[in-house]
Amino acid sequence: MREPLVLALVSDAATGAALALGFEEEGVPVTVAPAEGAAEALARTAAERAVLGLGIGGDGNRVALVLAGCPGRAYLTAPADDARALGCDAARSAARRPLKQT
Amino acid sequence: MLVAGIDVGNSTTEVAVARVEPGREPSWLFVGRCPTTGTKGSVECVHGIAELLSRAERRVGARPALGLLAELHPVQTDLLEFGRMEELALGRTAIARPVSQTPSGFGVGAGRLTTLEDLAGPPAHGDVIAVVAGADFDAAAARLRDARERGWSIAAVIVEDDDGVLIGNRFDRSMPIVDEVADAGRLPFGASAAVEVAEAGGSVTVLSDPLRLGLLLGFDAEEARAARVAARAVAGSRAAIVVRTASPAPGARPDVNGAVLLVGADGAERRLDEGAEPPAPGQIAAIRGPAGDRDQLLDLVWRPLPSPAEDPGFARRLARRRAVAIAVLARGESGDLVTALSELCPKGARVVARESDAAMQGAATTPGAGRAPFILDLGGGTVDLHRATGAVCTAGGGDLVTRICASLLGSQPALAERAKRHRSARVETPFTLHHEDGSRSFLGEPAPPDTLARLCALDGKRLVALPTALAPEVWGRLRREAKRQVLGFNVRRAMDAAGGAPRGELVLLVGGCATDEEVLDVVAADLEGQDLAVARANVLGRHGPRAAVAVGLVLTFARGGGR
Repeated sequence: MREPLVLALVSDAATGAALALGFEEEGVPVTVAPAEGAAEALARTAAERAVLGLGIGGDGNRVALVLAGCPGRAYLTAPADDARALGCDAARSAARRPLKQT
Repeated sequence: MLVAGIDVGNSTTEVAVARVEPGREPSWLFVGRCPTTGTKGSVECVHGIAELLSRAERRVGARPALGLLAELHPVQTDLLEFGRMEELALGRTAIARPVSQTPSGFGVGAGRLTTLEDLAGPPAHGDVIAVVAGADFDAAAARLRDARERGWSIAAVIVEDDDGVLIGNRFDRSMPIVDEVADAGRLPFGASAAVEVAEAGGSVTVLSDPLRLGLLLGFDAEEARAARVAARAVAGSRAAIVVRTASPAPGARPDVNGAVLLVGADGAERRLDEGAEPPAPGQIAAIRGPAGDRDQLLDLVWRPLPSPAEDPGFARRLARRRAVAIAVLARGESGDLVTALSELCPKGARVVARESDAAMQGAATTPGAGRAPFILDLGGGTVDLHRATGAVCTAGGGDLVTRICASLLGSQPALAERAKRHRSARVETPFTLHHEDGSRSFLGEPAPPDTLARLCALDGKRLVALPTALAPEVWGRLRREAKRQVLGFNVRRAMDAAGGAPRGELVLLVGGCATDEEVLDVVAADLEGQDLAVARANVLGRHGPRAAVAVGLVLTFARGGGR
C-alpha cells in the first residue's frame, strides 16, 4: 500500500476531523490516523512517512506541522482549538499557496 | 574653522564636516546621512539636520561653527488613478468585484439574493442566489439541500467565511459557490445578482462581457455604462460577483470630472494627456486639478505604470486603473530653514552655491575623474545634469520610481523602497527559491512561514515578503522598466535640453540612485547611442556616488566662494 501524500497522526478524533476540514477546503488530500504521543514527536514520525514530507501531529493540547527536511523543530504550531486553521496552512504549504496565518 | 556642508535632498539629507583653514585643503572629518524630515527646503528639515550635526559633534568632538546650504527647490510626487473615478460612478449602480481563493463548482448563476432563513419558507418563483453568513458549513449545506428538495431553484451560493468547498462538497459540487465575501451579511437581499466561477487557471467570461452581464442583470440602456465598468472590474479573475443595487435617481449623474490641467509658460491651458510625452523642462508653469494646485513650476513629468506583456491578467487590471505617476518641481523658498539652522551653528548658516556647482565640485574629487564635463545627479526628487555652463533639472527621480513600484506591488512606500533596491525570488517550497532569471537555489534552513509561496525581496540574507502574486521574472522586468521610464527618460530629457553632449565624453553619476547597479545599467543603456562613457563617482575617494553636494558646498566655501 502506498504511503499518503500528507499524514496526520492525532490522539483525538475531534482534532483529526478539524485538521481534515482545513485540508478539504484547500483541496489537498490528507490521511488522518490515530496515534498516541506529543504533537511534535507525532508530526516528526508522520513527516518521515509522508510522500510530500509534510507531517502533522496532534495530542489534544497542540497541533504541529513538521517538514521532513527540517525535523528538528516544528514549522507551524497552534493550540488544538485552531486545528482547522493549521490544517488550512499545512495544506497551503503543500499546494504552494501563501499561508493565511500572516 | 569647523564647517558643515548640508545637502537637503527630497528624500535624503547629507552632511559633510571638515576643518577649513586659509591656504590649505579642507581636512575631512565626518560624512553622514539620514532621511529628510519634511518637504525639501521647509523649516521641518531642521530636525534631520540637527540629528546629523549632533552625530558629527559626537564623532569629531566639537560642533560645526558654520552651516552651508545650496539653493533648494522641492519636488512633490503623486500617483493619480483616473480609473478609480469610474469605480465611484459604479458605486450607486452595482457592486462588482473578484472574490475567493478557493471557490467551488463552475459556471454562472444569476438570481435574487436570498438568506438561509428565507429559504426555510415556501419556495419563491425564479432563480435565487443563497447567501450564507454566520452559519456553520454543515448546517448551511443541510438547509440548502432541504430548500432545493422543497422546490427552491438555487442558481449559486455566496458564502461569508472560507467554507465554499466544504459547502459545495456537501450540497452540490458543480454549483458555482464563492466564499470569503466579508460583507455577505450586508448585501442587498432581494436584489438581482450574478456569480461566476471559472475553471482553475481560467477567468470569468460572462460577467466580464458587458453585453451578457447587462442582459443577465437587466441593466437598461441608461445603465449600459455601469455594465461596462462592472464587467471591467471583474475581468481577469477566476471568481466574481456582480450585485445590482438600487438604480440612481433620474438625472443624478456622479461628477467624474477629474481632469488635470497644465498651464504652459505661455499661459495656455490644456488637459494632461496620459498618452503623450511630457514636454521639455521649463515649458509648464503651473498645474491645477486632482494632483493639487501648484505654481512657479520648473518642471513637471508624468509616467504611466509599466505593463507586463507576459501577464495579460495583471496588464489588464493595471490598464483599467489608468494610473499616472506625477512629479512636480517648483521654485523653493528656504528662508525659514536658513533662519532655523542659524540657531544650531554658532556662526549661523547661509546659502553658498547652487546645487549644480556644488555637485560638480564634489564629484570632481573622484580619483581619476579630473574635471568631468558632465555630472548626472540621480536623486530622490530629480535627475539633474550639471555642466560648466549650468544645470538642467528634471522632475522625477528615485521617489517617483518608489511610487510606481508601490502601485505595482500594492504595498506601502517603505516596503516599495526596499523592493526597488533588491532582486527578488519566490519561495517555491520551504527549501527552494525561484529567482528572476528562472534559476532555483536551495536553502539549508526552511524559509519562514510568512514568506512561503510569496514573492520576496532578497535583502542580504533576509527574505522580505511582498504583497503581490507576480512571478519573479515579471516583477524583475517591471522594476527595471520603472527605473528606465523615470530615470532613463529624464536622463534623455536633460541631455536633450542641454543640447546633447560631445561624443566620447565621460559622464559621472552621483546621488542615491547611483548606488543601484540596475540604475547604472539603465542609464548606460540609454546613453549608449550617444557614445558616452558612464562611471560612478567616488567622492573623496571613499564615499562612492554619495555626498557630492555636501562635500562640494564645503569646497565652495573653502575656495572663497559664497562669502
